[in-house]
Amino acid sequence: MRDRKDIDAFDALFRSKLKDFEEKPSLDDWSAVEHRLSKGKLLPFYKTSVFYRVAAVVAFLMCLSVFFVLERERPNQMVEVVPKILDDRLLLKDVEPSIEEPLAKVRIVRAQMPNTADKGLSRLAVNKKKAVQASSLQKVNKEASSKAETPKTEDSKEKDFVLQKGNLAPIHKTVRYTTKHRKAKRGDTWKIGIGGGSTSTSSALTERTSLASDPIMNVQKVGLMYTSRIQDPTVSERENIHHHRPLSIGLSVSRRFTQRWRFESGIVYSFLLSEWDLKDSPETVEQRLHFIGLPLALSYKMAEWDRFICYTSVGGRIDFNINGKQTYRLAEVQEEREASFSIDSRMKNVLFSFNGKLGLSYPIGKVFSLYSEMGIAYCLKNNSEVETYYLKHPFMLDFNIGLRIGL
Amino acid sequence: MTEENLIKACLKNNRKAQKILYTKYAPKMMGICLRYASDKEKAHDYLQDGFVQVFLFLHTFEHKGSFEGWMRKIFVNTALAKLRKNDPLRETKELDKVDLTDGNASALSQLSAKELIALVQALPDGFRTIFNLYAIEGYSHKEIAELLQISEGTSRSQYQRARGVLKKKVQELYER
Repeated sequence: MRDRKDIDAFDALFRSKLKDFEEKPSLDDWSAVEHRLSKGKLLPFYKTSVFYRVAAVVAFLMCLSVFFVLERERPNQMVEVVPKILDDRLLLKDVEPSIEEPLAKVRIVRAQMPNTADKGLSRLAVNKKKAVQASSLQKVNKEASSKAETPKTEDSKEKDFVLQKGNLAPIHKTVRYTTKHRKAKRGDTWKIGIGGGSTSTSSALTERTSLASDPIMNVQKVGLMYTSRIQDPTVSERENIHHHRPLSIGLSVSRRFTQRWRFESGIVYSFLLSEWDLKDSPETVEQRLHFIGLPLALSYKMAEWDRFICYTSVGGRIDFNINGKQTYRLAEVQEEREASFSIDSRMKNVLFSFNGKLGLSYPIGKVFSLYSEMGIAYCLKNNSEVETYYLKHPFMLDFNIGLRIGL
Repeated sequence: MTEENLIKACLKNNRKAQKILYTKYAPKMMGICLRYASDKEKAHDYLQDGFVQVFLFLHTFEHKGSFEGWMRKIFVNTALAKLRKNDPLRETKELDKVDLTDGNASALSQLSAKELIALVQALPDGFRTIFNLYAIEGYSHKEIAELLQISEGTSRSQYQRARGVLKKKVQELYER
């Protein structure tokens, strides 16, 4: 340092006015310092208390076990379909003996196929069951028509050939359109005009054929027909129900209140898709539900590696069904045409769920962070008549990926 | 709580103690940061960086001198580390034709500290840094040369130019 005598008047004046100059910092400065101090200190997993280490491992193992249990459940559900069909086959044995051989093939092939093929095969088997039922009815009609001594049309001749041969491919082709077709056609709200094809099945199909002749009236009539089915659950008994896993996207906000603990909230949009068939009728139903969820959770930071943060959280969520629609479709694959009708199926009751998660987050900038979470959730029953994945699988595995704003 | 106990609590990462320490010294340290920074936003950055350094290196404080003096050094060094990145000596060319005649001393005495801070902030980084170190902190040109890894001659000339600019601006401000 210099001697005081070296400092001239100009410097001295600056020095006297600025040396001890003070200015109040902004409120954000301390928050930033505090945030950086907590970020700078890594929290290795081994320094976490024994209780939380055990809890984290148990939570992780539970998540894994639930995942495997759910994965195993799926093929089991499909297995139930084949014995049912085989029972039906036994009942119809007298009516249509020629169908036995391909069904046996189905059973053998199914046993050799990997799990991934189960879904398609089960649908094939169900379609086959419908074909068997159709063939039995056709036989009755055939007998009636032979009694009336009316000559067979080209269509009916072809149909007979198909059923008697027991060929899988044609049978599959004569049945109404499948999930594959449903996906291809998704997005088309209305398609009027249904082709002939099976003329010897149930009265519903007869009605359908007659509707096709008047395209203007089709919408109203088909609509009335479906409405009556919905209102009367005994008429529209469901089968082959498939609830897709919910798809969610959300924005999460969190507020830290100690070095390890923080509150989390936000908003989550969920989309639920379900599909099913109506028993003994040609309609397929697609249900689309849109939910807005408000989560609230308490999160505990367990460890840090570099910039990655491992945490666990427990909380709950309230979901509001903002929109819901059931679309009833009627179609024939052969004609590549369909008719559909939609009704409002919004769930009026709110859904409550509880969850426990294990997550990993990575900061992007000062405020945002990317996160990935795996956990288990339990959804409470809400006495709603609308069937969803949440209510069908109240105990479920939960995966989340998202962007979080840290305050 | 005495300062020694406060420092001990801070060393144990007690967040409350750290906040008390921050609240006590932040206004003074902000004054230093404002002198070394070219604007208020950068001053806030320096302040935050400085306090993070203070808490991270608190264990190196040996309780021999004043704690405030130790903190001032940390803040000056933090500001210098930031300024070194910009290589402040490059910014001298545009001010080669500065008038180095003495200004009016009475004009200077009538300006407020905030106005003077604004004048200092308006200096190029190199001028401002050396003027701060020499005129306000009391470093010698030799010390500044070592600190900034420049020659003593460069330090002297930069200081003189900084003075010239400041005197001229003080005069302009006074005449308004």
